Amino acid sequence: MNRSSRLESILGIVSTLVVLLAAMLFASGIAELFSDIHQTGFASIQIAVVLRLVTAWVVSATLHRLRHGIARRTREHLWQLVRRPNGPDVAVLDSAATSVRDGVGVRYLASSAATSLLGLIPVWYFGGWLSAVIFLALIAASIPFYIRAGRAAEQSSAAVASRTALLASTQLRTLDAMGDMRSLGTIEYASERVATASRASAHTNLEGIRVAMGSALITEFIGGAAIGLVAMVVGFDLLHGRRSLEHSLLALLLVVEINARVRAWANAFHQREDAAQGVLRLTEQSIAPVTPAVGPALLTASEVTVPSSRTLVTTVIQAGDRVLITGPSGVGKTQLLRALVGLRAPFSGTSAITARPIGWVQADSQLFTGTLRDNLCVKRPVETSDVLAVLSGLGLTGARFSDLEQVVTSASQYSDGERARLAIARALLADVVLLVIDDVAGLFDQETLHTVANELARHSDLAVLEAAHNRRILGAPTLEISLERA
Amino acid sequence: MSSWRLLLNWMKSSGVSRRTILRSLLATTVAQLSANALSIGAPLLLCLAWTQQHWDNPLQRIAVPLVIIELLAFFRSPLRYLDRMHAHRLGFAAVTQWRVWLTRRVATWSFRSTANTSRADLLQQSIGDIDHLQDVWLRVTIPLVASMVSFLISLGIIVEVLARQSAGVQGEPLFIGTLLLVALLVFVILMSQLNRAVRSVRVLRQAHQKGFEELFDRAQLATELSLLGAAAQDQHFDQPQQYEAWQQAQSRVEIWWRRVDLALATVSGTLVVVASSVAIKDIAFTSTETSNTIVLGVLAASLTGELFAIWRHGLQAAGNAVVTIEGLEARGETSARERGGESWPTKVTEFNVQDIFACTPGSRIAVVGPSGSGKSTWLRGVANLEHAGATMLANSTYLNTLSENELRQHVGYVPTEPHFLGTTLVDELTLGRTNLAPWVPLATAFGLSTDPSVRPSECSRGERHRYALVRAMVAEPELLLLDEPTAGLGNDERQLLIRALWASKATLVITTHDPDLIAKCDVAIPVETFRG
Repeated sequence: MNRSSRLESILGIVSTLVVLLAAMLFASGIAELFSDIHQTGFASIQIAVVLRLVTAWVVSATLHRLRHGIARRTREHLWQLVRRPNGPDVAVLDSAATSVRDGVGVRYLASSAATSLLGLIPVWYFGGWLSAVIFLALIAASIPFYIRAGRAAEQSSAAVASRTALLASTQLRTLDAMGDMRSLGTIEYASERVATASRASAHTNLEGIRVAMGSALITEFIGGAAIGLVAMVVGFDLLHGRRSLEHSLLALLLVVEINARVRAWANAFHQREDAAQGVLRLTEQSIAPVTPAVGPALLTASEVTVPSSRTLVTTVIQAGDRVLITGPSGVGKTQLLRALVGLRAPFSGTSAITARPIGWVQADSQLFTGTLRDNLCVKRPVETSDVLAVLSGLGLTGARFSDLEQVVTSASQYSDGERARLAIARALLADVVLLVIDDVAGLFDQETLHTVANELARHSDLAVLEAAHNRRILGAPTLEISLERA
Repeated sequence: MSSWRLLLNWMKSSGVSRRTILRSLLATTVAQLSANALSIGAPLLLCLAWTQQHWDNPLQRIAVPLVIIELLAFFRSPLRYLDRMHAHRLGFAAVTQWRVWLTRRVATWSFRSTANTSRADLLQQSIGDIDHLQDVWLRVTIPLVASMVSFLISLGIIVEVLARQSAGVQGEPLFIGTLLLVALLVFVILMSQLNRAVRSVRVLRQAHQKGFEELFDRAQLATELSLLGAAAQDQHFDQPQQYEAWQQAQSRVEIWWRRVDLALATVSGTLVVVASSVAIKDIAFTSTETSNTIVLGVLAASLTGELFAIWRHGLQAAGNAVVTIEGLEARGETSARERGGESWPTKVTEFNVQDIFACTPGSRIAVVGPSGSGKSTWLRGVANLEHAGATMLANSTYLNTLSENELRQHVGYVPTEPHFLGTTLVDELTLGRTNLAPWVPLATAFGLSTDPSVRPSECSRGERHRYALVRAMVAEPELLLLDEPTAGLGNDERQLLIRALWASKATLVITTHDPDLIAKCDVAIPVETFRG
């Protein structure tokens, strides 16, 4: 990473110097044309244009290459993280990787802005000390405004985000109920509700944009005013014959160029922050410490909570227990399961676990490339007849399951329900002591549900921990934990 | 071309008032003009003033342009502010209409082969897509049109200023004509690349999704295997091909856009060089007026750089919008009837349940059959929520002659898993309908709370189901279709529910497994009977 940021800085310095030179050539070209020195003036302008073009091309190509290199390294890192068993949040990782990638170019902008300030020396020389001082003073004065604009944008974006989330949840609820609304003949009523929510959100959004823009525009205003004042200074010098047209134009165009560079850097405020946070997220993916429990308990939870629920979960799970966790969707059932088995740190409270191996069955259970036997017997070799017995116990019969040597090339060969049952089979064949089931009952029809429940009932020593939304496998749980929304 | 037509249709469907659009266009054009004026007009003005022969007072020669420049600089940011605010207001107004469109459309989705989790994903994705469609106005239409208009006006102003300065010079019409032609050509070529842009966006999104899914799957598998304590899990992971492919697709698309950028910059740069060459060649440069023409060439041509950049970003946003719209339009399983654009028949007939089920009004009919025999689908079909159902119903033509509105008036339907809007009780039960029976006695009969602050969406499963029954029954339909009304209820709750249901005058058609409920019904018909 160090090498690429050094390269970015050098790129910023060199390209800015070239662009400043081009601006000066352009200015003197125009001045020469006005003094009827056509050949030289014309050549200067053409060289300036070509210089700009080549610089833009080199910068874009180099940044692209850098971005590609960083993306490759981030990808490899990401891949290592995903392989780790602590179940990192893939969506967070993915967006972190994207922001790291998008962060390429920020250093270029910074060094370019810094270098462009060197342009103040020729401004001083050609436009007089007053021009340089006025410009520098106004740019410096706008720095607190830049910072304020960044903060205002952040705050308003937080407000807008929460409002947008509210609108999204209203919409989601309404859309979810649209089948019912149609059967009741109230489609119009429901869409009017959405329209009202949408208008309310538009109002807040506009307000947020107004605040953010108001702040940002002050800085733009100062930039514009700085250029205007410099033009005024050199203009009056020109008028009194203290300065030539060439020098006046040089000062003016340089000031415009410097202002553009500084602004580009300041506008990358969020990109800068995002990239820094992305790096942070990618580097600190901590594994929650797991405290080993003692005694016959497989799992001991003490006042464990998750952020979206206010329920304190205190429980001891022993062999043969059947624990059911219920609650509305989004209340954090999956998070609670992850916290209980030590895949993530609980929001508060402690959880200790001795149970290993643990079976983890989720709605999107995966298979890897290999034979069906490889996929099922991950822990130890098992007799074919035993494997088939478990499979048929779970209702997985027929040609697609009888040949254990067939190669699984893609998980989508099996339906979601079948994959969930294969995951249960994999767990049972690995002699798990605790089976964690994360809301898969919805994937089964009634008959399959009974089959699976019966198969689990045969394993009386097995502890089962199931999270369920509306359908459930555990018919008669020994303990039911109901999560309530915070 | 079809992609542009698609965008145009969507813009029309956004139903934004012409005034809002014009106001936004005006604001953006003026902001663009002020930017042009500051970057191009300011140096031009300085030069012109310097060479101006008619003003005797030198103070005037400089002071006038300086004051103009100063004003421009001061007004630029408020103008830009107005521009953005108007554009956003327009975007939000359009998005509201599209949200309503989505809401109506989702009502026709059947979600039959969609699992519960992916249903939520589907809806969430659609909601997000609609949010992004603001760009159709914000980043495509308004910038494209406004930039073109402001370009033309800027050219006009430059020509006008120079014509006053240097009467009799012949170079301008030729030069301006060429410039316009080139700009127009670039516009047409660029915009004809929309399909290419759409393809690139499509490839990118698909690749991203595949890559992300792969990453996600691996994370799931890693968790599962490590909890099982399976050693050597590394051997089960092969190379992340999809993710790799995504990154490569991203890089390829980026290169394509970079080429477009380069091509545009080259055209613009060449214009500056060629324009000044032409001007120099064509006109004998002996006077100050000639120099003015050359300056005109250089400055006007350098306007194109800005212009092309705006167009190119417009093209990219258009590509994104087209892919989003295509996704939205293709999403969801709608019935054949809606897909074909066939309108609902409007013929009004007297509604008579007797003809449909060959029974007396007020009968209680149980429809039975083993799990998975299609009872629910059949019932949804009868309620005309599923196109497959209509053919399964004896005398189905009869129901089909009703318009959607009449059908809903006469037929009530309560699913196994009812959904609510998430508001308070009165709104949930009345839903803006008129001519309803009083809901309080009904709710009381079902043993439900009538406290208006109750939110049915937050009630227990059994209560939710009973509130859904009340919601359907307050409209007093003649035919009430109930999908497994007693599934998952305790014994007391079941008795209460049956008692309240039996008090209704409506004909009840109930799909069920419940032996108690079947015993209470007048007749039990196997679902197979209804299949043709």
